[in-house]
Amino acid sequence: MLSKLIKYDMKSLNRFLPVLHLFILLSSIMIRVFITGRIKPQTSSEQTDFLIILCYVLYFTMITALSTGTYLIAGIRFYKNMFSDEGYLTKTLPITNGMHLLSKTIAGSIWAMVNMCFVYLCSYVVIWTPYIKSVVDENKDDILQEFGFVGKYAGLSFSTVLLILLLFSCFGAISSIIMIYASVALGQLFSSHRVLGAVVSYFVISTLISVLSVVAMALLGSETRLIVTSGSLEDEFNLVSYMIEIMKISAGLMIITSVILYVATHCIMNKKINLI
Amino acid sequence: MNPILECYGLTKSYNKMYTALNNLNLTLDRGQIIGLLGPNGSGKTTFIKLLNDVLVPTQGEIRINGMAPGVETKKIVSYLPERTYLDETMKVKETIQYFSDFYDNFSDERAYQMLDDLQIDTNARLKTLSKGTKEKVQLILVMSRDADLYVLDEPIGGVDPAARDYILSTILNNYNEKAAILISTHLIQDIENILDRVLFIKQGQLVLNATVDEIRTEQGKSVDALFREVFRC
Repeated sequence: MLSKLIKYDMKSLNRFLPVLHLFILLSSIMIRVFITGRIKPQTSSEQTDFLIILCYVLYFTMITALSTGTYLIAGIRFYKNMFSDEGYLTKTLPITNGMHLLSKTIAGSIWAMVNMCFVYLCSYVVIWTPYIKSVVDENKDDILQEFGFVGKYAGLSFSTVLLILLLFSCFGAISSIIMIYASVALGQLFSSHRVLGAVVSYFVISTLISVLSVVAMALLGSETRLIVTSGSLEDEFNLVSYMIEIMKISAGLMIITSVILYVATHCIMNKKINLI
Repeated sequence: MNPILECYGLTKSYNKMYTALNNLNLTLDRGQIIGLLGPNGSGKTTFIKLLNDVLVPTQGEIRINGMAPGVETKKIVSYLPERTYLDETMKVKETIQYFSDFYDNFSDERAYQMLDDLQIDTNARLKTLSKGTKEKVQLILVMSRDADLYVLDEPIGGVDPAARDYILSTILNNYNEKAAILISTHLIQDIENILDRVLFIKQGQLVLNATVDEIRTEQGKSVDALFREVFRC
């Protein structure tokens, strides 16, 4: 049954998301071919610099919109399928709420991860031009030194770092899907204006998680290390080491909050849902 | 044989301000077509939603074939809500596949036969169909299951009189001794002839539970006439 549910959940997401992602990929290729691919040192002037900055701003706006759109569509499909008119069919299928939630989490997470891979791919297409590559290659040692790839981190290859970042981002994507579903489920506890309730719940959960992150980093000393080292002790600051520490804390928090939110969503779906 | 449906002290309140269903006690046996009748806001749809686990009761208990509403009861209850509950971007044939995938007791053959009888294009997307045709598709899907309890909320409200006859004959054709059909409707005259029993609900309480024969012989009235008398404004 789970595989059938996932099939239908994927189908409903596949109606919108491939088009959106293909559009962004094509746009990235166009930006690469017509703008960033043509950047050369001798072409630098105030006008071209402005154009390039504008192009990057536009590109990052597009990428942000793509990710937001992906999560939004996953959230809307979850809401429509479980809690709107379609819910009258979904809820009366001979399937447990737990199975529904698991299926939707898997389908949403697959798309969130695909989205993340697209973000990396598009960024690669737009940014990693032959010119940028040659500049990076020429100054590789300085760049690695600057970013802190020294000492025990000296052996880390670029592809390893990229893989770690990609895995971490995918993990974050799953966590975001769980958070969005939890917000939608919490919104159902409101007696009216349930969509607004879901939006409010999302911002409340996000704020709580941000506060928790700050508290966790303060307790573990990461925040203070950044402040201190970015001041007088700049030489001792190692970005890679700092980022690894931050990623460890974030991963820990993500696991804890995701488990709590998933269980909460399951409980709400089992005991509190009244379709009106 | 177990009663198909039992309710004990069933109550549903919204926001602690409004009680839609108040201490309803009821037992229904198989092998009958039951009309669930009452004016707007009397609690019919709330009762039906509770049977189908889309609402959580405030108090009381429901037993369907001796079980509380859940996965096992959903296998034997075929529910038609009063709204379009299908994904409207789907094609008619995709909805049949959907039902076939999730309900073991669904008959594709019966569904296609009924769609053919009503000349509904199986390649059409639901969003391109009229409201009445969508209702027909939903009813066909629901009646193509070999369920123990059919719960139909306003099954003929939105369809033309010619299709009504077909739908009522479809309901009759699916009726067997093992199953019970619970129909909620305002169109009493149209369905009176197929009903075995009627339940009158008023302000969330059951005010009448009698067979159609009892009403006719003991009160000398049709169900429609009795309804108008009981619920006179």
